[in-house]
Amino acid sequence: MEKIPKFKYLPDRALNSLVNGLLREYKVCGTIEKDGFPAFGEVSAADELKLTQSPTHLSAKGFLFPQREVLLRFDMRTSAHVPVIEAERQVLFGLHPCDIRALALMDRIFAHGVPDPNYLFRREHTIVIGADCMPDEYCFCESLGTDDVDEGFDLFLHRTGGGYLVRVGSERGSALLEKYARTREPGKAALKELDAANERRRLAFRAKLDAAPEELPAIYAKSDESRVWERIGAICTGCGSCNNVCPTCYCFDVKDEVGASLAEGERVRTWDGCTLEDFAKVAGGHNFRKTRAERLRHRFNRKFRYLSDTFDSLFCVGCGRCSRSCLVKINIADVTNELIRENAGA
Amino acid sequence: MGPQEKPRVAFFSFTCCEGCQLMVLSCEKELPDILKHIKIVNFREAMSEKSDDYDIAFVEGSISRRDEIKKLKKVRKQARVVVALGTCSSTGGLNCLKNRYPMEEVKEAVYGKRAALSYKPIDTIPARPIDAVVEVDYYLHGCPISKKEFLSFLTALLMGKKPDTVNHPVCVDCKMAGNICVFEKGGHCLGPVTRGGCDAICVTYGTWCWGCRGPVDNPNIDSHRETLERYGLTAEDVAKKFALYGECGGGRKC
Amino acid sequence: MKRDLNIKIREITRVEGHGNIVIDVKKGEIKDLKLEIIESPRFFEMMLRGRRYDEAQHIMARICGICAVSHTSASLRAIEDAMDIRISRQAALLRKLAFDGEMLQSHILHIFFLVLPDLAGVGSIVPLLASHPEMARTGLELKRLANEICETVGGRHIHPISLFPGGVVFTPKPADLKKLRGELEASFTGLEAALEFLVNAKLPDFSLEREFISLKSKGEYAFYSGEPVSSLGKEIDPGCFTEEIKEYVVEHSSAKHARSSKGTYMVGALARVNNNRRQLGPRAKGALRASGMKLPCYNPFMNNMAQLIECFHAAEEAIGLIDELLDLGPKTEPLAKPKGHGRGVGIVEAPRGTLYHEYEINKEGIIEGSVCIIPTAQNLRSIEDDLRAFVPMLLDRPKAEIARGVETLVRAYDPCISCSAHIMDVSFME
Repeated sequence: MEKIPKFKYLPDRALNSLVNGLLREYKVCGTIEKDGFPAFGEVSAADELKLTQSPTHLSAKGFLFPQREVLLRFDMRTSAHVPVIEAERQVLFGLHPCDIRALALMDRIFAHGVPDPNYLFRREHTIVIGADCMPDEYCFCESLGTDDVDEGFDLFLHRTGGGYLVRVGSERGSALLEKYARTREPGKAALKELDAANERRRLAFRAKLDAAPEELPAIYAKSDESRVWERIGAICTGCGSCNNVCPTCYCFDVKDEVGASLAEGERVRTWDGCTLEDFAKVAGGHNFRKTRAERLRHRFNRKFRYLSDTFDSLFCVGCGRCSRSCLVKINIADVTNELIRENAGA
Repeated sequence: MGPQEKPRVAFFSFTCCEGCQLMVLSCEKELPDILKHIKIVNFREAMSEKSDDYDIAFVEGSISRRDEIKKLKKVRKQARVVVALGTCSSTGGLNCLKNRYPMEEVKEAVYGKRAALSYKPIDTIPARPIDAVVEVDYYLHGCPISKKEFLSFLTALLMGKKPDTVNHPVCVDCKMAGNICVFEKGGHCLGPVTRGGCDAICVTYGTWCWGCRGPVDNPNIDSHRETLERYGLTAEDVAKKFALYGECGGGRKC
Repeated sequence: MKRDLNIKIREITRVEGHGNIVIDVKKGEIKDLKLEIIESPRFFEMMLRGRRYDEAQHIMARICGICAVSHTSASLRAIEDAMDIRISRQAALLRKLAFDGEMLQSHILHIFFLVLPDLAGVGSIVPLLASHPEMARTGLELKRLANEICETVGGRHIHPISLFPGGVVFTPKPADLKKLRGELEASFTGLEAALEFLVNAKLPDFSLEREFISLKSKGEYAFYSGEPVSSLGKEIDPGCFTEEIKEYVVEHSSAKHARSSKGTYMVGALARVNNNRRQLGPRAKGALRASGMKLPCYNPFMNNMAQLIECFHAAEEAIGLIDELLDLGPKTEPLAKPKGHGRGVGIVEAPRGTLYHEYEINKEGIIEGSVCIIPTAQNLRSIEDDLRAFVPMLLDRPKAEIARGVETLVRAYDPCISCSAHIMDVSFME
């Protein structure tokens, strides 16, 4: 088999024909402009897709793990129940490297133990097209080594002057590119431009962690009694935004919703979040994590410690979304650095 | 109520706009189904029949006149289950804005001195939620209530399940709706401390959370006050923002 | 017949809000007759004082759950008048569309839920579902559509969200507008059925000459905007509305009464059809012809027919507005900014009639004073006059029948009592 060349060059015009082509076959979800901000949303025409180098406020996880999804329909008169998997063939367009890394973690979570058929089916029918990015003040993926990807995408687009340098990550990606867009071999100038852009990007990171990623689980393990938790717990409003914007927070709640007929209903799964007050409340009203401080500590540990034994990976990809969306300015990189300092001092 | 009989349901309205009753009437698709499972025996806005024999009472409106206290106590005595229907009833609502002023001043300013002294229909006391007067079994929040919450409450009750009460802030609904944060857009919002369950509809349709559902169970008001100030509001603006749906303090005692 | 009669109807049903009717007849002569408004008053004037201008529409919508879009619209127009704000064409089209949705929703609710049970001889829509299932379901379906119009533009019908000073802060998707258009086209079948039912039902023949006041607009049948006019040929300057219309307090009502310089007058659908019939849309004109209503019509019971005619108009106007919006290609627009401050007036034709909001806004954008004149409050005097003329015609009937007749007459006005009792100051403190 002929080796797929590393880059193809895709002029701006050809991007449009690629998107239009995809729209004929798939539901296309990508970065659009919402109220003047970059956001993920469904794209209904090529000109709605706005590839952006800035991070989005919300992650793209909802397209694979929807905010609300029906798992089962039941009829109580007959005790019949039918599993439901609502999925369309879809393209996620414009994911940044951190998002693609997060997707890989979600894949492992939902395949672990009892595999989750809804997520996995949807994932199987999803094409991933990545796009490059520039960090803002909250991004710290570079410190976690999640600032670049070699896999987990079908195509990956790097912005250069009048178009894109495209990396092909799968046969499927290659076929789509061939079918819908005219590409050509990239010129030397474009490749040089890419190197310069990568260097600019490397220098643009302002948020950094002061320890190597592999040291973090141990540091967190020693930080249960840190004063940090109390301090950030005092200002946290428990709004749950950090959970909801996080591309790797996957907790959910399952409820049965019965219709007005009192005969038919649906079993529905919705997002849940460990920073919400009722998350660890159990029957009888007992709450395992009563205070906001305990709940925040739990969330941070889920990102940097608890899951690392099972999956041999951190569950933070450094996208900075939790810090960006936090109205009381709890910053995940700052908190981690504070714990790093406390441990270095001890 | 015999085992085979449908529960008898009554709707009552005190000081309010009657929008929450209207929201019930807006369940056009579900109404025919609902009526198979309950018998509505009192719903002045929609029907002529009246009965004093009922099991479940939905009460909308806040209490703001003495005769309403008496009427409400009668409802409580009769009903097995009392449900506060909507913000006015469950937290006092917008009506409580008048509690900022002495009641004599309120009456005089609107009806004039002579009427304020002696005309009976315009008697008024500080507005308050119904649980300032009677014990309440369940609360449906919102100005107006959410149709979805009303229906899921009713089905849970009819099936003998414990109805859910949302205790997460509006921010959760807002993120699930995929909205850009109001603060990010340069606005000011009460979402982080306000009880959700509304699908953050006010943000989705272009404004901000006004706080109509009242606070979550353990809100961090102080912290949110600081946030609002950090995003440019004066202390006075902040106080006013919280006051829109949070002035019921003066009317608590009965 | 020289008869003694004492009727007290406590808490009239199938009206919005709380009211009693008291009638005292001695030897065939009416000694006392009043419509007691016992609704607990809410003092919106005091609630609004000191609040920011862009909260006014949010607060004032909550005067009434049924006509929240009307209150919001009157409020916005008063704010925009006071602060010299000019909204875009798209915003005006969207607001009018929501307004038509409310007109339809309110009239349908009244006709199907509140009036048809009277004509069918039942107590509510619940038995109507069994006795006249087609009619009841048509009503539910039309009401659902009306709600959907308001939801598509404003987020919800009861206390709409996106109608905001300076414009409309949500832009509906063309696909949603197209869907509405299709449903509106299909709605005429149901409206025709209701018309046939109402024509055959033979509304009581009772007539009392009176003045009709409504808005009138050059280019269209006035709902959302226009200038107040009287059927006696008088044009009223919107800024001087409170000089023509005077409100006063009566002892038996928490809603104020109102009179024009001529005395009793009526507002609402019947007033509008009488004053503006030439501007009705073609389908509404067809409905007017089919109704057999002769104009000018002074029969308050025909208010229900006028409402149904207006349903035709609202539906056809909504279709036209959607077409214009689709032509324009709806897009997100910035809000028009305030350029001034001071006194502002906003008058709209709410489903129940002329609705007047007036605010005084200071240069910090804070509301210092307000006046609000509610349609039902304006009609209370007319209702009592009608009752005084109508009751003697019934005196030879059994008491229960008199009571039912009286209640039906009050209901024909579609009074919105909770609205009417949520009144505010009549004059500014200067």
